[in-house]
Amino acid sequence: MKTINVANDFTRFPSGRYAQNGDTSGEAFRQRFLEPAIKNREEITIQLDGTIGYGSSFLEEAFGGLVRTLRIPASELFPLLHLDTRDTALLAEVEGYIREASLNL
Amino acid sequence: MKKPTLALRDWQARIARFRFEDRFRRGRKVKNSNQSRYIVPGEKISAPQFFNLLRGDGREVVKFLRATARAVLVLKKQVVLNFRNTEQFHVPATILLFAEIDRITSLSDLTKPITIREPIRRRPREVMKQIGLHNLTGDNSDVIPEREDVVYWKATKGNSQSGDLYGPLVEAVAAKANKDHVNQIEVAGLWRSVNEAVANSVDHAYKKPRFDNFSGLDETKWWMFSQIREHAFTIAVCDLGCGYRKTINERIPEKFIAFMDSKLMGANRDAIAIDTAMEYGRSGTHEEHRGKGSRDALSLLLKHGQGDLIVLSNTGWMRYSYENNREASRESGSLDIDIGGTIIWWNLPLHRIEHENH
Repeated sequence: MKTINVANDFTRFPSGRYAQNGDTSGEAFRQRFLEPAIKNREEITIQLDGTIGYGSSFLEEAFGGLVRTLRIPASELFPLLHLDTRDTALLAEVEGYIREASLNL
Repeated sequence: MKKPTLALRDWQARIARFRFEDRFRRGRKVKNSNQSRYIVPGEKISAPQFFNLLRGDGREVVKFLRATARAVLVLKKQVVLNFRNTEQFHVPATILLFAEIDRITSLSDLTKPITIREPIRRRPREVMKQIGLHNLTGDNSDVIPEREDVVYWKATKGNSQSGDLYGPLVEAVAAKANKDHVNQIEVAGLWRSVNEAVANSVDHAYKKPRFDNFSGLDETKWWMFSQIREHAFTIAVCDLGCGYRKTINERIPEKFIAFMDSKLMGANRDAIAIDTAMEYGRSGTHEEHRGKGSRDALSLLLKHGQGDLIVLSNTGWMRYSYENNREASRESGSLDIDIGGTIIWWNLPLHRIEHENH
């Protein structure tokens, strides 16, 4: 199982939604780390702690966008995607984006 | 008293004549040296005494900025901005000044479109140097900022949402604030709020041209200020875009805003657009998953428990005040003049650590 630490492997300053507006965006993170693994049905752990913080655009585009792009429902995604953080509110927020996007598939 | 002799009166008259001629000669010399002194070419525009958008001086600030823009960009004239009588810089007006000067100098074809005459008072002179206004105009300033309430003014700008552009600044000022104060700035909450304000500027602010048909610079989309004073931490993000009202109308129908207008008994419509964006998000894309950013602006107040968020957009402003972890008041107002952009400004109270050896 692959483990990605956002702060070490991507950026300490995650920000923004689209890759065209910045290289630390949710879309850039999704395309670089999440899509390749989930497409191949590989399990992946994302360590969210260690960054300065997250904006809702980044999180929604990275995780909600994953559901929309790969058209994968939450029920199939959750067994593959493991979120590692001490911040329970952050965890609930990301799961919420995945569920919300899944409902609109 | 002894009566002066004729010789004494003659001697006194000669001294008086000599002194008069000497004064006349000196006067001419001063006049001559003035004529040969280098005079900066261009129109002289006097800056307001107070740079404050919210306390009645806003109109003067905006008129000053418009006069500068018109002289440089329309009449193609070099200008001298005379700040001699300027006494005070307030954050929203100062960030607007900084952004507009940057915009005007970037768009102008003139060699040196703007020259600055510094304020007489030391504090405003230090502020101008500290934020780097001279760097925008290519002027020199000898003043070295040293005042405690000036040296923690930090300015940055950018054209994308890349966190690497402003992340180190946000982190550094938050660390400084947290080092000296009891109530800590929650850095993740600060990041969330500032991050979404920048995203709003890049994503939405320049979708439509503003009142003077300006539709954004390629190299700069947003400007940011942060400041730590003894009892407060301040951070502000500014764009020179079309304002909340133009973009929110795409998502929230004009009819709804008109309804809110009637409900709030004639409140400023730009202020209503700001408030609507805080409730529903600001997105012109019709996509359900977007437009959460405006609400993130308030999350910093919730996490800090107290403080103010002030949003100024075009002709309106909204102020959200939090105390004891909940909203204490919500005010709106009118600026009576279009500032030509949006400013989002957080002001968080801090309490200094009392050291034992005091």
